[in-house]
Amino acid sequence: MHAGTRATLTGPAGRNRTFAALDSSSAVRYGRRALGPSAPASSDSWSFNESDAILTITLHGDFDEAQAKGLDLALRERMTRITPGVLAVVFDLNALQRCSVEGRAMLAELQRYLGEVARRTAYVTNRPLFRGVALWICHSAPDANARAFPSADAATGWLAASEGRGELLQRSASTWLDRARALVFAKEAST
Amino acid sequence: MGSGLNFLQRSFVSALRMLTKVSAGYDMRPIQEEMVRTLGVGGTLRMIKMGAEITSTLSRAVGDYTAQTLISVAAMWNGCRYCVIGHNYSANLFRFRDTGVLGPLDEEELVELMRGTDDEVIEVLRQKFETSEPRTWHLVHRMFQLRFRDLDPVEPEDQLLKATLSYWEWLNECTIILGVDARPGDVPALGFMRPPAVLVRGYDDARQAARAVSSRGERS
Repeated sequence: MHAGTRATLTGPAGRNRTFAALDSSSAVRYGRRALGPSAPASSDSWSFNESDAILTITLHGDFDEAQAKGLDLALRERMTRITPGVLAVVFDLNALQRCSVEGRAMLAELQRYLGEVARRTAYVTNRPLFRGVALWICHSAPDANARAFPSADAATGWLAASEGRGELLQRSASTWLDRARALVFAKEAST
Repeated sequence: MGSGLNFLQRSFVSALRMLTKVSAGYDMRPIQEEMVRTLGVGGTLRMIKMGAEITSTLSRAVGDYTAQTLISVAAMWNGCRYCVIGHNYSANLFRFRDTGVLGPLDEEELVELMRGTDDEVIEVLRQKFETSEPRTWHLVHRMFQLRFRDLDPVEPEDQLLKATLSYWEWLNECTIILGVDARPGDVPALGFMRPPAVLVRGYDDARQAARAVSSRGERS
């Protein structure tokens, strides 16, 4: 069992369970350890590992259509052995260098499939350009339970929650705007 | 137009596109259709109304140039090239109109900048703004900390910066359909209502001249 911070999850069926909360030293970084019942699958540009109800898929280097097809096959094969709605999926894109348009489109198709079988998905990347690609994938799938994050830490709360991406973002924007309405700013006060 | 939209929704999208063209002078092409597909007519109206309120509040608080710069940076953290380029272009037009000076961020540099890590991007922004525009840099840096460092909002503008960050994260949900591949030259000055042609020409000429000087400097 991977040693990490533990948190309680409530899945779509209301079941409570625990998982190793993501942090930079744990789930996304554990990629070289085979922890689940299956051996980790990998290719030149992707690999995955499973631990504590989180399947982490690491993409690295150049990711194109051929790589995407290989990942698609391996992931679907892996997911057929798992009860739908149990596993959360984390795509670690921090080592990704390039993602072709075709590879991106296939990831959106894959995300559409994951939307039906995974509990929740997080895309983690510290590069704005790839967060845009991840957002496009989540939106195009479309999967309200998938979202892009700048770090594994930032994704932890999302993986533990159940509110859809759109509702959450709208509520957050509305809340902060309400708070800002009450303020008078220096430039306004001086005019 | 518009797979998946009913007659009312298609009519609404047509009206919205026409209204945007008349009031702002540009066409957002499939973005408004995507908003309606994603949020429905009511949700789209809420999104547009909220965006207008945040933009006008931000402009009143920090001025048009800084407001558009902050919006561009907020969108950058979401990876939406369309909003990053368009709002930065708008910021540059405001600055050029008001001071005759070019802003520190060239539209042509932005996509390359976004390939960097968040820490690399904020370092480039520091180099661009810290000395020449300390107030803008303070707000850009503050926004970075609010977005990535869990900073508690305590300064007067922090709530507004949080609203800007949150809103553009929501909006980019729809703009990303163009924002994933957008390039300078394809994106209008988002947020600058009908910029006069003479201003756009003057800015473009000045920017081209600055690029030529910069390119000569790099070669020598």
